[in-house]
Amino acid sequence: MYGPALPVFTPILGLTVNVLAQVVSFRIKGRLSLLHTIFIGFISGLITMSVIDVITLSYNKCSLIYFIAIIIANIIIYGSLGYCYFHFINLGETARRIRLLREIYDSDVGLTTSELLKLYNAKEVLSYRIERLLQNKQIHLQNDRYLIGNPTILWFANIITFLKYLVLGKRSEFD
Amino acid sequence: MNILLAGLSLFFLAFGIHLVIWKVHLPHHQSSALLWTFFGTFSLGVISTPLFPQDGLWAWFLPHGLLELIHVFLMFLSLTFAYLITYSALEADSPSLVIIRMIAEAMPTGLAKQDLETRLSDDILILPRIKDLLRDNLVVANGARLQLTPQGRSFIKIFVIFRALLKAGKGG
Repeated sequence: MYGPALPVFTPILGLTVNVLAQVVSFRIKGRLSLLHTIFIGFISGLITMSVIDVITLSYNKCSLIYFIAIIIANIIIYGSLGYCYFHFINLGETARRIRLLREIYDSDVGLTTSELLKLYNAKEVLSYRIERLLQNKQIHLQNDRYLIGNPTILWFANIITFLKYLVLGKRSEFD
Repeated sequence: MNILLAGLSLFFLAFGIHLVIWKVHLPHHQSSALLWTFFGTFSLGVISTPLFPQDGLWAWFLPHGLLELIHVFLMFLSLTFAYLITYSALEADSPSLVIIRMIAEAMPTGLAKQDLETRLSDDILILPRIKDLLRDNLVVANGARLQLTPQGRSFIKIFVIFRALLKAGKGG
C-alpha cells in the first residue's frame, strides 16, 4: 500500500512531456534529425516522470523496497509508452500501409490499383530505403553492386527473422 | 512490489498463452486475436483474484485496492501495446531488412542494382499490403476502386493530423 495517486499517473505525464518536446523540437528543427527529436522527447519525459516520482515517494516516506519497485514499474510503463510513440512516428514516416491509406484518403472517389501504383510503388519504396541505408553506411555501392557496410542492421535483421520464426513459425511472410 | 510482480506476471502469462495458441493454429485475424488473448487473460486474472490466498507469497502478486489495480492495468496495457506494435512489424517483412538480408546472402560479390529491383517488385512490396488493408477492413473494393471504410478513415486521420503537426510529408 502506498500514499497518493500521483505515481500511478506520472508515466502518462512523462509521455505527454515526451510528445510535446518531440513535436516542438522537430518543428524548430535546425540541424536536428527526426531521431534526435525522438531522443530529446524521450529523455525530457523520463526526467519529468523520475523527478516527480522521487519527490512524491520521498514525501510519502514509503519503505525503500516499495520506492524502488514503483520507480522500476514506472520506468517499464514509461519505456513501453515511449517505445509505442517511437513506433507511431516511424509508422507515419515509413509504413507502406499508412502511405497507401494516405493516398486513398487524399483522393476524392478512391483509387484503382493501377492509379495507386502510379502514386506509390516498389521503385519509390526501394529508392527511399536504399538511400537511407547508403547514408547510414549500412550498405555501400561498388562497381554497381551493393555490399554490406556496418553490420549492425544485419544483426537486427537476423534477430527479427528469429523472432518471426519463434512467434509465427516462419522466417518470411512469403514462406 | 506487488504492482511490479502482478503487472509482469499477467503480461508474461498472456504472452505464453498467445504463443501456445499460435503454435496450435495461426488465427486469420491476428491483431484482433492478440487483443482478445491479452485482455482476456488480464480480465480472467482480475476476476480470479479473490480465489487466491491474500497473504503469504501470493500477497506479493496481488494488487491491493483500486489504485494499485489501476497501476497494474497501466503496466499491462503499456507492455501489451508495445508487444502489439512489435508484432505488426513481425507480420510484414520490412523492405529495409529484406534488402539487407538479400545483399548479405550475395556476399562477397554483392548484389547488382537490377537484381534488387527485379526481385522486389510491386507484387512483393505493395500488393500484399493492399491485401492486408482489405483483410483488416480499413479499405473496401467498390468495383475497381479502393475506398476507405469508416474505420480506415478514422485510423488514417490520426496520422494525417500528426504529420501536419510535425509539418512532415506523406512518408512511406
